Amino acid sequence: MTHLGYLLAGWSISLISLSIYAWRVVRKGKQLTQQVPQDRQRWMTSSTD
Amino acid sequence: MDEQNTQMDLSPRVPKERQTPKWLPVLALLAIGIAVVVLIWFLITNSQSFLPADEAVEERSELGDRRFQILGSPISSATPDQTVIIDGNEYTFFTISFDGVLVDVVSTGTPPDLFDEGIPVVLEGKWNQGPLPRPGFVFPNGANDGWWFSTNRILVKHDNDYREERLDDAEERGQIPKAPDS
Amino acid sequence: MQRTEKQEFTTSRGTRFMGISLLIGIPTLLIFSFLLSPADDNMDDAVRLIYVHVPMAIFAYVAIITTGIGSVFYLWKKSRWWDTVAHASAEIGLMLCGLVLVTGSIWGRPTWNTWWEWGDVRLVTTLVLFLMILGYLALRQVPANPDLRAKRASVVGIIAAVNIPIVNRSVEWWENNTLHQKSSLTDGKLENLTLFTLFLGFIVVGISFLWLMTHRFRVGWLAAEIETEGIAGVIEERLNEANSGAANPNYQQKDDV
Repeated sequence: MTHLGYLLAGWSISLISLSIYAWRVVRKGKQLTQQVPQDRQRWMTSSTD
Repeated sequence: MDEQNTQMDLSPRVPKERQTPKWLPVLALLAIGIAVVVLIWFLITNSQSFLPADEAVEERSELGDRRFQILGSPISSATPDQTVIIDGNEYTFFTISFDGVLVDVVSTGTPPDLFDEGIPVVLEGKWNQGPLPRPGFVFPNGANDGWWFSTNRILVKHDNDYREERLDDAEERGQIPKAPDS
Repeated sequence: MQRTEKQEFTTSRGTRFMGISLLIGIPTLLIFSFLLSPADDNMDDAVRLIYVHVPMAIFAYVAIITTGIGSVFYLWKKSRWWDTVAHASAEIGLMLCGLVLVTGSIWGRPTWNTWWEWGDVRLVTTLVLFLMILGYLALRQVPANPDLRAKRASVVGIIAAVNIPIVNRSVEWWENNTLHQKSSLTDGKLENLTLFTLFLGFIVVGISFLWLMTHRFRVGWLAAEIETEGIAGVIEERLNEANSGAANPNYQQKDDV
């Protein structure tokens, strides 16, 4: 395969960056859900609904 | 106003430690400021656009020895015999075409990987007239009119065609001369 | 909506479905991009960057346009919901726009023979868009009351969104000022597995965008709830102080001064 270094750099930077961002968002969500009373968690849906 | 409210302590409180870093407002203004400055600077200075080879030939006398960017497509792929070393410097000789107008080119250095027949290139350099670095060289199927374009920077302007019949269409667009039998 | 257990994440049935789709979609996209789709006859294997670069570019546009729409609706309706949408979308837009610049630069080196061209209209307008969204997000961090902050940010959000047509059409309007190619999709210059894999890329990046957007919106909503709660708490605290002030000798002393 030609240009393998460029391909790996482009794909891995994209996938890793998006994964780290996704992880940070989910982690932040977990922290915040614990600070907000359930009755004020409008726009949130329960895992059991 | 009731009595309770009149007794409220309205004196300034000692501010709590700021959670927002002090540099953030500066960053906000800096980012927007840079964006605007870059855009204005770009619009003012970017008067130099690529000159298609046919226009560059027409405007040859006005251009003089000014450095500019010329747009055209190589009429053939780079072959090893096009690159020669003269006095320790590497030169590549080829011809580009735009709308059927040919321009002979002498490049210092090896053309990039994607340099190929029918793939538009942008060359940064200037017009020259007179003897070539390799005296007596004749450009195969080239203009050979005594004028040549010297460049030290070749950029590839890859087109948007990813189909198998890309080269046939390149002929139709005049990016490469039509084959004799077509 | 019935809740039967404590909610601890911003996850829902919808995001879980999208997450599972991504767990299947991303490896499938990688297989098609690297193994099944053909190399280009001129660009060789470098063409395989198209399947991540182009979908991210399109969804960066989508994200920033969403920010623009959210900003307009915030200014019109004064709705916290729209402000949260605009904010969430801008953050994802910044991420995607940054990755578009990086992957574009990586793709440019083997194909154009340059990492970056300052005179290139597509590259510079995309950089300006990135800086505008960076400014939008930084502006949101400047201390201000929530309404003022949202109003300021909305103005920048709308300006950034107006930039999108300029970025997108730049390759047509200033054809001789950019190395960037025109759109292959709208010109019908893609075929067979190359076209299919690009569409797969759109689906995968599209689901990623929706997944991130849903989670990020919920995070934004919760943060706003905490902020509102915080402001309400401070007011309540002050009123309590005032109410107890009558019995507090310090208040009397201040009055004496």
